[in-house]
Amino acid sequence: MSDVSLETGRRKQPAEKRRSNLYFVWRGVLGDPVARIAVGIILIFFLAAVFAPWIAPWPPNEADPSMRLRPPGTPGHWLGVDNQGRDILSRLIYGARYTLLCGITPVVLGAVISVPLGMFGAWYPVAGAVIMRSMDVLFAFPMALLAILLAALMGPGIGNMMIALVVTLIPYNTRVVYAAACLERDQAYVEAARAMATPGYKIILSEMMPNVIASSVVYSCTIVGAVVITAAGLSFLGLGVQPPTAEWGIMTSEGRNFIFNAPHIAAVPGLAITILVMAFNLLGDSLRDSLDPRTRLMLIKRRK
Amino acid sequence: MKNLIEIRNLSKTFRVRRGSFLRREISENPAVSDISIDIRKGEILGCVGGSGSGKSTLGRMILRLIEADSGSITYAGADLRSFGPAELRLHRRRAQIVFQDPLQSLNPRRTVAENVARPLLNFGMRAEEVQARVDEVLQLVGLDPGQAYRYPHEFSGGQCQRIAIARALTLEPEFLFLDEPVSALDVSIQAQILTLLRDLQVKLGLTFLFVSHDLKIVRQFCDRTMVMYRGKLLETGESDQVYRQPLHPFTQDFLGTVLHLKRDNRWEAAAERAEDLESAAPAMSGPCCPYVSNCQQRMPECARAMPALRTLHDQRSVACLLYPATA
Repeated sequence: MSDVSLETGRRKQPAEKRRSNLYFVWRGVLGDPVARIAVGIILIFFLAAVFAPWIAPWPPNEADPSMRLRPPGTPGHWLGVDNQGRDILSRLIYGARYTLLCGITPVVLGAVISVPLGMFGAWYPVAGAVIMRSMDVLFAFPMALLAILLAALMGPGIGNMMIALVVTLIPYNTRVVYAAACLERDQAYVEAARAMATPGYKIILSEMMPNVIASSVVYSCTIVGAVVITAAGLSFLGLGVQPPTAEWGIMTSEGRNFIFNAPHIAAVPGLAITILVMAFNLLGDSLRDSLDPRTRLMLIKRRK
Repeated sequence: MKNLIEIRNLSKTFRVRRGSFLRREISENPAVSDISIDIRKGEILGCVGGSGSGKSTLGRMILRLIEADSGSITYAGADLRSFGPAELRLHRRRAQIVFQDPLQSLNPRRTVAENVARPLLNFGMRAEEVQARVDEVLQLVGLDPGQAYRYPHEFSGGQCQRIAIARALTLEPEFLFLDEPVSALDVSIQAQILTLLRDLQVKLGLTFLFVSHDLKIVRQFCDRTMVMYRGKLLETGESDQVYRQPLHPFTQDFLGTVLHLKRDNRWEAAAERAEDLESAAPAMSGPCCPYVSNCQQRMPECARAMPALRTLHDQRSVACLLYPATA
């Protein structure tokens, strides 16, 4: 290699600086039309949740008995009215607050606990055996049943419900992280790290973690849907959010008695849950591609 | 030349265990058994043998990436196997490894600069100095430091192997264990990497243990060659001599598996021999020559005890009863 090319290489360096991970996630997600739609949907739900008092046409619990069971399209109540005469659109907007809170918080908390647990388990085989066998015990209970059991033990309330959801989520996420970490552990770069005297905790945190976390992020995005539904189920059983609070799960379950006369009462919030779950799944797929240095450059180049 | 590493009666057996709490052994797999060899300062020692002959295990034990079961390794006069954490940390500065698959040996989510800088950061070098040193080693292996912000997968196999070599050299080691460093590369790239390694070896006064299953490369690249089979050392000597006049029946057969471009009719014979070596009956239990079940010139004594490694003329040693010791 000649000196000239080295020189130009040096001079080029400031202009072509290494981009941060966030830049690639940003470009990767925004460059993908499907992911753009997913982000748009999630953003709309978020904004609706934050600005609910300003957006919602009616207060969520104000009932007008004369308007009971009106179908969607009624002037002033574009998504219809429920069995007590409350405006469904307003309840949907207010309900987004609780639904997003109950869907996302347990997933984030679960990941925060699962990622270290799974990686620690993969690195220390004895600890791994103990951790994974205890996870198997939790696995033996169906997700909904375990959540019901815990929520019932701790008593009703939104905080207890979220704790119950975190506990039920941990085994699933830990297993995903553990499997990914076991794969990474046997890669040559980990052995190379050992050969250059990298301490064990540093190998876990700075070498393996960036490779493992992507699979947990993707998994977490797909599990948001299941959590929203489980949270709805707990609320339905009276263990989570208490009526008359507007929450999509409660709204769906309250509509079940009128499913033949006024299907929109259950269908509208049900549809909202479906759209939210789908948006998170699509976002998860896109995040996986843009988090991986091996695929993200292709993503950006292809779309230039 | 002085010996850098002296290995005496080194053995390692991999035990396969079942169950996580109540572990019981289900099989034993002797990877390296009773090997004694010296590695001299400044030489390139080649190590050839089929797959599963314990070549990589031997090198990893010198780096303490795998702990030996018994025997001793003396590194520059110190007993390597008794090193505590602090001494081991210093040993990591002196002895480094280059892997077979260059892409796999670099962290895919770290840039080239981060990958190469990691060993320096481990030894507490300051950030500005690290940058300078990374540029320096990248130039040393013939790469453009301006490209160091890229990720490993953006480089070709040969370039990745250069990066891996650069990373191994950042700590200024004196010994490199090259674990089949060119077998994952194109033939045209192999020559480039070997030339680079040879240049670096001369320039920096390095000592190499070069593991390969490519006999032609070992012959050209290495000063001395050791031949291993099923964890046992069968023959050592100057590379040229081992190739011109292989002594052990295994070495003779193993060399026969090399394909000759010109003589087409030999290909079939070579393939047949290679098949014989791979599918040889499992080694007989108890002490015996590892090649006894396949050897054309076996004697009844071969099945009774493992022939000792005997030193012949010209620093040649062979573990075979066909050659009585002259000394």
